[in-house]
Amino acid sequence: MEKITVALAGNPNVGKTSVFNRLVGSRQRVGNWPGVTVEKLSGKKKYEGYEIEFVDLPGTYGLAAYSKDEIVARDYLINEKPDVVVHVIDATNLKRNLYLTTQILELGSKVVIALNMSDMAETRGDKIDVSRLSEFLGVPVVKTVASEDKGTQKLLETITEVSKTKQHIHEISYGSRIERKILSLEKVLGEDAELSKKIPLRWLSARLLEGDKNAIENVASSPAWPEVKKFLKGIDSEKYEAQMVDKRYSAISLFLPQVCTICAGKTTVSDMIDRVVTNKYLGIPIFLIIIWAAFELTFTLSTPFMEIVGTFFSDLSVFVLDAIPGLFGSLLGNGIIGGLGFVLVFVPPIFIMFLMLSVLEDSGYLSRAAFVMDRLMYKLGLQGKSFVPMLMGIGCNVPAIMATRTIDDEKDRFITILVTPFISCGARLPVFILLAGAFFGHEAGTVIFSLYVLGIVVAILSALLLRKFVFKGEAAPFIMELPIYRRPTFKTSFLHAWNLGFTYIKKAGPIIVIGAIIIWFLASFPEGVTYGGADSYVGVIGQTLEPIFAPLGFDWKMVVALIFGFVAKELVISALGVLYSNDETKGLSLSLQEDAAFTPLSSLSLMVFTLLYVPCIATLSVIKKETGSWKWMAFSATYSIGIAWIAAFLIYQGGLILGFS
Amino acid sequence: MENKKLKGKFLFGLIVGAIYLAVGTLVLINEIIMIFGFNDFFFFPADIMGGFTLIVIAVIFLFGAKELHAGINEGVAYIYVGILIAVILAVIAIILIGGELLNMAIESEWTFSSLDFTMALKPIVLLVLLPLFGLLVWRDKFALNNLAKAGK
Repeated sequence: MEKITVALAGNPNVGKTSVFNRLVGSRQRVGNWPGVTVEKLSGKKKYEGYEIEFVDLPGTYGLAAYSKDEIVARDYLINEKPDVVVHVIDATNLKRNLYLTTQILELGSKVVIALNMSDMAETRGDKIDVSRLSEFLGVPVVKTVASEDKGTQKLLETITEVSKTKQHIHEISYGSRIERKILSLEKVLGEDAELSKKIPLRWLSARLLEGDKNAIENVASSPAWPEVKKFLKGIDSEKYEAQMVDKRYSAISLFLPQVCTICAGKTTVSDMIDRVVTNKYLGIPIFLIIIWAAFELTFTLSTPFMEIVGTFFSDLSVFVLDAIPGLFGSLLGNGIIGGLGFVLVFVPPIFIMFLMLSVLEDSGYLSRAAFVMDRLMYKLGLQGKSFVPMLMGIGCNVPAIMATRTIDDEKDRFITILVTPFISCGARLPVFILLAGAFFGHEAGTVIFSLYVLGIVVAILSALLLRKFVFKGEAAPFIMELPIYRRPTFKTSFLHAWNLGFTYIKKAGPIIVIGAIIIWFLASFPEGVTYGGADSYVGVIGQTLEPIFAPLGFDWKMVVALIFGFVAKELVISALGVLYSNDETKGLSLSLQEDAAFTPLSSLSLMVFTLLYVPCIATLSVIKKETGSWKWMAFSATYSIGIAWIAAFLIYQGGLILGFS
Repeated sequence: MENKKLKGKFLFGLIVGAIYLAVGTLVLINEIIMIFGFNDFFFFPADIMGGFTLIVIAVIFLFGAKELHAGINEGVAYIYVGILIAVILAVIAIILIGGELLNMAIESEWTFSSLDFTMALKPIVLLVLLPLFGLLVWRDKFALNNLAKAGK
């Protein structure tokens, strides 16, 4: 069976992963968000006597790559030399996409163009002449609509046909002055026979002329280097780069009107929405009301489901305690079932919140949110790209911190790693829902929303402090492409939310069970004490630390809950559940309302502390891994606890002064 | 403004924007005076985020009216998007009312007096009649079929 390697290349967010999924039959994550694929993915397919290996590359705008993910794509195309390159193009944005085409064609790869999202281009009235496009580029062009599996067969047929053809280098004429320089460099480089076998010399010469760092690295070890170095010293690379970019766009502009008779120019629905939601003054307020509405929906819609799950676990716990007397019954009823129930009751709101986020992401709105926040963050001297991982942190801080790898500047990356834990993750949501629901009635949704906003504000202010005093320097500019708006479908949004929700349960489940057993042990011993009482181990621990937290309005029970929350935020609820489980027939919410230590003000202070202090051990370990330093991990933990204490103190004491209780 | 259609949109943006702004401001002020222990205004609910939302919608419409008045035809985008946002938020408010009713049914707390909570959501639901009118008149501009499905 003949083997073919096929690379899928293209600009970010053109649907490469969707095409890959259709070709291979896999279910890799796709999103309406540039940068979903940050590493290359591969999959195999057997087709008419061929074994085809498809490699999905991260999106890149050109072959002069800058960020880590772009370098992965560029290096693969140059060094691995795939048999065929499928260049996936967004049919609604031909001009910009074809820029990369000109560079791939210069590389001498066997290319097939997949004109993806062609249905959308047609819907908005674009008329693209595919055969004319193919004629101009000298490579086959196949129309695809990956979301509906259209054009996949034709693409497979074309790939196998093209793999049998001879390689042909396509050239762009850069004008006589630049061409002379390219020829001179080609001549010098031609002295290195090894190099000419590895990389097309014309392509390499053009890159050297543009001052491409990677191209210079490739030549640095060549015997031709001293001559090349001398040559490059005598020219202004930046000027040549600008002229060559201009020439490529001129070439595209020359044939584009003949290929696409009515290309764009018309104001689309996307353009209209963007005019408003990215408005300098309205962008952030609109973002705030959308997120507020999402939290209101999360809170209100999940309450009936929480009631059902809560009643189930409460009844089960009572049943077990009645049926199995003694210590084992207590462990099972109070510890495991009680602890698990207190947390699983919050699966409905977490799932609904993930569903809201999925809808916002799939529609393309979250990219706009990052865009409007970028403007504000850049004014504060921060990298706007940092807001993308911060938004991801609403789900879970661990992958959000890992996502900072897409940030090129090391200082910006460290700042983002250290401030992302302030963004409220899914595990903190149950604590907010419990306390806001118990003490703020119909204002609960607004209170939860305010906490999320507070998290973002603290993260931005902390980033500002770190930029000013620790990681001094200027923020790198951030160029972000806004994907077109799409209609979120129930299936894609539900699947996305399901994956996130399931990951949460899988991650939280074992921690909750083990944590619940430990809390149960500490609440039940020494022997003979009241379960969760002041004389139990948890009581002693809580009372020892209580003076530190008394100015924040916390009693020893709250302190115990916060200590367990250090391991994972879900355990704050488990601990409160254990400490307030004297009457199984009562809900936790009612028990808290009846405790004199819990007032609306102290519960707000507790929520703020929970929001801002160390998120969990998993986040700390990923901070250590990503910064490669214990020092930064310790800094993150200490700094966040300090900020949490100060914020909770200001809220509690300030509230008391203003006459709130 | 020569174009009659644009003049209609300008007037629509101006009137709807002014109404949303007036109601939003009253709702917001109501919440502020209640925080300081005074009685709220009769008829208008106290709701800080509800008031803020109404004001943001108002500003979107007024932005559109301002641009159209200045002869910038693209200002219609603000009118259409304002309508869209107002309708979406009103639908969300109705869903929230449904959710609250469901909660009460589950907790067996259903009484007519408990319906008072809907006061907080009323302005955005009641005011949506105006954007709904716009939606009906310019419905061809809101054909979401023009957008591709998510999932590429």
